[in-house]
Amino acid sequence: MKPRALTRLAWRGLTQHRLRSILSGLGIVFGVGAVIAMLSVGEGARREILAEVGRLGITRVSVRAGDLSEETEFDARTLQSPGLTVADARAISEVCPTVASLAPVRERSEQITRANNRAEAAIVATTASFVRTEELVLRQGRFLTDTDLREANRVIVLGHDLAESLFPYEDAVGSRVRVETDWYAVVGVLEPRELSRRGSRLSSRNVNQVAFVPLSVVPEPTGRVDEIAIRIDEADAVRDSARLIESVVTRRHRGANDFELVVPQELIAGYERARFQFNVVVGAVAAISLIVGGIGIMNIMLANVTERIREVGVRRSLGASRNDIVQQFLMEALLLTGSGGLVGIVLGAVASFAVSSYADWPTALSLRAVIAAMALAVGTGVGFGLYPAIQAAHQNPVEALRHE
Amino acid sequence: MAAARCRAISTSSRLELLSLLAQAVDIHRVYPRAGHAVSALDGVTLDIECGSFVAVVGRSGSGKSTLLNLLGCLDQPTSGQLLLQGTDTRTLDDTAASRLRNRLIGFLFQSFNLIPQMTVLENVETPLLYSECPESEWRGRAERLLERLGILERSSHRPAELSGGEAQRAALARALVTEPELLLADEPTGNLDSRTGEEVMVLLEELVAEGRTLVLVTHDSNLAERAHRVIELSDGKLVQDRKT
Repeated sequence: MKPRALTRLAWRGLTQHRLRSILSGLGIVFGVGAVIAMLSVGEGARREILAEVGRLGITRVSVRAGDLSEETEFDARTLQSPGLTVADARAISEVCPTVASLAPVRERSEQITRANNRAEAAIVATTASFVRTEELVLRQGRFLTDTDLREANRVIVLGHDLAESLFPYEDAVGSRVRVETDWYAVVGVLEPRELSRRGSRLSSRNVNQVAFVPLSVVPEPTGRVDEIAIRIDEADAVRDSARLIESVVTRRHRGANDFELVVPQELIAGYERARFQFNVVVGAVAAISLIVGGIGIMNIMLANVTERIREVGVRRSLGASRNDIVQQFLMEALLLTGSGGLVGIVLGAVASFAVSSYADWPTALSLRAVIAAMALAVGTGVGFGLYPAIQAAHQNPVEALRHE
Repeated sequence: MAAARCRAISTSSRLELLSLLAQAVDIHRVYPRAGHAVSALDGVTLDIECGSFVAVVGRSGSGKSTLLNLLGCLDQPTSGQLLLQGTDTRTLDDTAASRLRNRLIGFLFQSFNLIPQMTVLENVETPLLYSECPESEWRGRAERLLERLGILERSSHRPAELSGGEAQRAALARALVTEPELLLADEPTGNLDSRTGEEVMVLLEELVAEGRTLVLVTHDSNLAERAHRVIELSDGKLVQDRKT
């Protein structure tokens, strides 16, 4: 049968009982709507985490001095672990050839003052290589240098927002600021960096609000640091390097579990696992709602067939083959589920938009989700429409013509 | 065009065999009914020639409609051979039988059997949906027939809005739209008053005069007498086959 004529015919069949068709299509509408809404919430979360990882760089690894519980602290003391130190950083760069750059970091929250302007800021004491490790971009001036470190120069590099608040009307570079009681010369200001809306394990530090000083100006007799920021030279090497770094640090800490290794790549893997579980749940919900929707469709199609047995007989007498009758009724089911699917996609998109603006969750509607939802809807149409269509086609034409 | 071909064939005595539109040889049709078999047709043998007007008469349950359904390929004989244009209907699968029905046969029913939710025009176009005819020609063909049958102005109406005579004309237009050679009419005037029944009969006779073959199932002996040939069935057997 000609596709256009077939579609017209099926459409006419559906519009015969408009309300009935709409009601039976609602199951598909809500099923597909729920799938789309859930997939876009999942996709939004995925994109956000990927974007965060992207900002940090997939080759970034961090060793952090852990927040110790009483038990681990006791262990660390018993094992005589020296804690995370500059020596660990040195050992890592010696042992691990894939480390492209690395910077130990000591972080304090202190007050910075410049004339009448003051701000509470994170003072990050680090080395010159932090600019490469963290991929910082300078707007003005320079970053810390090895000389600054060696000579313990009291120089400071300001994050963009911090510089704006301390120096609203003039250039920061060349001026001096006071950190608690010590004076520092501003040598550089960073470019602003886009940050995720919510904090996560990956980007706990807002570099726009940070001031960088040489590690050596904040002396610490134990050599302890809060973090060793590491950049690996190749994405493929990250996992192996992380394992190596972990073993180096563990050995140096004599087996004490007093540090934390943060590997964005593994966070992604962990996230992917969580997403898989989420998808299984979404899939189950989708399957249930589409099965319920499909049963509704089948019910209506069976009613349609029973109601139109005589029409089937007439069409058979006019030259319709069984195949033509199957096509006609199947097309009706497909139109019903297909249009239900389209409406469901719109509904799901609206719902996910509402969720993202009301609950401030990131959502994203991916083409893949739309295609998958549409395929599910159409698949439901075929799956549940086929039996009634075959039933219609196998009516005995002679008896069908006599049917009242 | 098909009818013209049929006429040409029927005038040639040498091609007598080809002039047979339908040929039934000892056909039986048995229906299984609750434990026993009911024989609706019991060894009927007959030929139907191109361009002939055959009336089939008999009491209720004599097998008239069964014969019509077999001739229309809507049913298959339980045994025996039925040839339509030389093709053994038992060798046809559903699709081939349906295409043959679409191309060769037009049905006319007592109760018209128009599809109620479609307009007259759409009803008339319906057989073309299953034919090879390009969609662009459907409307023209249907409208020409409706015009010829005098109900063109009713083409956008639904069957429920038509009188009995108009409905049967619409059904006749639908039966003719694929230009079939054989018209099978099952009591086509049974639901009509005598005047409109007569109008429909005149139309059918015109079609026969043009060379189409008509098999008319009827109770009405007056109508039967207008045919070229009358076949009488009784209890599934052919009891009389006479020319009028």
